[in-house]
Amino acid sequence: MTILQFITSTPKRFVYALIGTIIATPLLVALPHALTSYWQSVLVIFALNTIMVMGYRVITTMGGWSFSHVATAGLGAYTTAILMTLETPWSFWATLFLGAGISGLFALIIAYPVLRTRHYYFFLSTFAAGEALRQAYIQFKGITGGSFGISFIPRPEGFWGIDFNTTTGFYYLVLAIALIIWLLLYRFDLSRVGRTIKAVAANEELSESIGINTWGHRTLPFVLGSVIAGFAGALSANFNGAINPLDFGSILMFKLVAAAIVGGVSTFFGPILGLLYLTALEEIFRAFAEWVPLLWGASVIAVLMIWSGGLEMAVLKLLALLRPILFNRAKNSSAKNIG
Amino acid sequence: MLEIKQLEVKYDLISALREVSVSASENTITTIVGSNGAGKTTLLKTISGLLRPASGEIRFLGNRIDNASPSKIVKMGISQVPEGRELFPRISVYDNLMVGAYLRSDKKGINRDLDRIYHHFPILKDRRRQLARNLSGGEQQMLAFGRALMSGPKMLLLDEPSIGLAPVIEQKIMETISNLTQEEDVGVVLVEQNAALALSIASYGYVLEQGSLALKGPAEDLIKDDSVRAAYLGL
Amino acid sequence: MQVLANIIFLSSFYVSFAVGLALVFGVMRTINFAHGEFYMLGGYALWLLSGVLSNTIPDGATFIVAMLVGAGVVGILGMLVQLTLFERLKEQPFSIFMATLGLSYVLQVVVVKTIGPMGRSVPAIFPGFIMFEGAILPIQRIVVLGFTALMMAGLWYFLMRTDLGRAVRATAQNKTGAMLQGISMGKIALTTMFVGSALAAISGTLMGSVLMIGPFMGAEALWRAFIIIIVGGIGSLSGTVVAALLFGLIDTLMTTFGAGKFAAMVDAIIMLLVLSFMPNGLLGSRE
Ligand SMILES: Nc1ncnc2c1ncn2[C@@H]1O[C@H](COP(=O)(O)OP(=O)(O)O)[C@@H](O)[C@H]1O
Ligand SMILES: [Mg+2]
Repeated sequence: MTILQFITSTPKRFVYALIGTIIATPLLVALPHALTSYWQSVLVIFALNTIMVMGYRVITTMGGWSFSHVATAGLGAYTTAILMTLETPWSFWATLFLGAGISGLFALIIAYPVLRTRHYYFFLSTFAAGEALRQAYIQFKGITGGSFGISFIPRPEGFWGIDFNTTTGFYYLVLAIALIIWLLLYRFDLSRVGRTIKAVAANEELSESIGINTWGHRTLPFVLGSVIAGFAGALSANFNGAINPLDFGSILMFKLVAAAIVGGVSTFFGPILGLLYLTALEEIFRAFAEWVPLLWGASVIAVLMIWSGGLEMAVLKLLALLRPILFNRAKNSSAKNIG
Repeated sequence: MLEIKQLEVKYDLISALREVSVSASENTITTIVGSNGAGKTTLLKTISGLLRPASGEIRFLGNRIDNASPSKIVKMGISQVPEGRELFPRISVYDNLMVGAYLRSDKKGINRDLDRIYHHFPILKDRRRQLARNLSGGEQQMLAFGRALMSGPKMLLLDEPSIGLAPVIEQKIMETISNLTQEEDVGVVLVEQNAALALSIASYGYVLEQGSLALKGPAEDLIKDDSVRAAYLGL
Repeated sequence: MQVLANIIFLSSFYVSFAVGLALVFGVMRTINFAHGEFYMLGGYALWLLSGVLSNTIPDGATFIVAMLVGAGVVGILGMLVQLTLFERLKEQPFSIFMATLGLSYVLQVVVVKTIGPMGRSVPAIFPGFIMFEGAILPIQRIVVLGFTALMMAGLWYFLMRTDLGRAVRATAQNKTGAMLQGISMGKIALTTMFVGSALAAISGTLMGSVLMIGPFMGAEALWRAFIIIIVGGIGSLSGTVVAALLFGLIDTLMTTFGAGKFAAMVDAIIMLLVLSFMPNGLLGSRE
């Protein structure tokens, strides 16, 4: 595909998203300067988790809610941690991509069995596969450091005058990667393949009967989402400087799934909104940290039982209400926007 | 004994039954015939309390049952042999029959009814230790009858009992139904697509078309009716 | 001989832990993620009661009282879960999974906050060993094994020999068919949750007498129970027992031959292979 073709075939919504991203970038770049160092860390962790949930949402587009996502991200983290703490350490960039690749490879290996399953079988099998992987982090002490994990993981060398050893500097690294992933995934979501994946999720038998490769269209998002998890995992290892098996346990998994539920997954921004909400809860109730999962759990149950659709639906409804007020002169373009 | 008045049943927003009024009495066979999708199963499920009507009423022995639970309805004496039989495949024939008697606690009565069922369907006695899924289609249908009778019903609802069976067995099932009606002191509501078969043993019949009653009358009159002959008997 | 004994001990733990989960899934097509915490509460029942009752009644009696009290309390908790969560989230497997996952954290937090995060252990109730054919068999372990067998026999009796148990099995096999026989789904669901949760608690009390009791003991064991019920065939109790024996065998042998660190991986690979080639598990029936 030539560049010209790509540009002309690019959906309008993507162009808007690109313009929006370009406009928002200076704000996101300026953001850490308005924050104390504590909040800067919160911001980095939020950005890392945003990458995680973006990957998670890709998986949900094929209709399954995986419970191995965080353990899979651990593969990226351990790859980076192990290779960067060798006597002759690897370059960060090499480990970042290798780690993401290994996460994707793991997903590819388990894809055949777990993607044959549905509903509970899918939750249980991905959960069990993820836990077994986490057990491997604990058991293979010689490589992974067992329960203590690996520490003194260095951060990458800075460039263009950005020092990744500062929180703000590292934030820029995460931000850049998050923005690239966001644009790529958004474009992917709008692509033919992205739409086919959702069609397969909506009606597998029908899709199969009209000759769609349903298998491929379920495996691809599962692997792609896992690769992205691997990126997030590798970055988080660098950011924290130390990792251990608990970092990739079910609390974080719960947080991600909760973000996807509370925010909703039918739009791109839903899970991110959910994550923002959960992070806000976490920070507001920082003094009662142990109880935070309880609040998350209560929010999840509330959304599941009484307020289906989650935050994204609330936002969409609000936008639909505001649209005539804000954009009443540009009716035709807004119609395309929704479509 | 069973009185249905102006019944309307909906799946979400779509009505599957509209203004259906049917009555059935003891010791007789009342049949409801209609083609596939006419709403026959919907009607029986509603009588048994698996579906709730949107409007109308169902009375049994004078009492309203349209809001009663399935378990209350079985207790009052209505038992169903459902479409597809809905047996318990991995428990024995004997256990299937005993589940039919779940709501009863009169040990003696249960044993007496079990003997009677074994008398009607000796094959079930021979196979009482086998798993239900290992029975043939005809045997499974007998088991479904037997299980329904184990609750000691006053009224039996039969949903297409002949479906999927060889013609010889079909005929035998119909004979069994007339015998049961006479010997067991039950009323029968027989739902069938095979109108000829059903009308041959019933005393009264209804024709259901796309959720509404199209015709009703004594079975012998319906058999002679030209429109029934054309539409359902292929004559 | 020692190896054989270890296989039996481990398998019996797997059976007792997983069977309640398998029962609940088989009947209600629901996974209770808090099953691990119910097991953990059974362990704490023993710890609490052995503190309260020490020097009043014999330790053996305390053990039995803990089993009964734990089973009763946790069984009622299970019924509450049925009424508040499962009943309201009917037919939404994912919602139920997440809601019970939330509940499992709640129970962990409550225990950490009230009793503390540290592991506890109770002094051996039946101290001593038997030497048999060169194997060392702790009496406590043998007692636990005996009670596990008794528990399974009780479950078997309930399911195979009582009218309610027969109704439970019928419902597991065909819900519509069961409703048409007048079986009340609400009653079966409550019964099943009571029994399934009580089994978890009994398992916890039994294992609490030989292992450390801690807030995360259930969470740590749960994933293996998932593997066991998947490999056995979800919902099949006999499949669960077979798979528990299989993994008891594999895990013990791997530990014995110094490959214990590969055990989790091998278990997961077996699960993935079973899903690849026999998606209904070893003894599961088709859905
Ligand atoms: N569970 C259901 N949900 C929605 N529509 C249904 C359902 N079951 C049946 N229907 C519809 O109701 C109508 C009557 O169906 P049914 O009672 O099964 O007919 P019959 O038993 O006469 O073949 C049909 O149009 C069918 O498509
Ligand atoms: Mg029908």
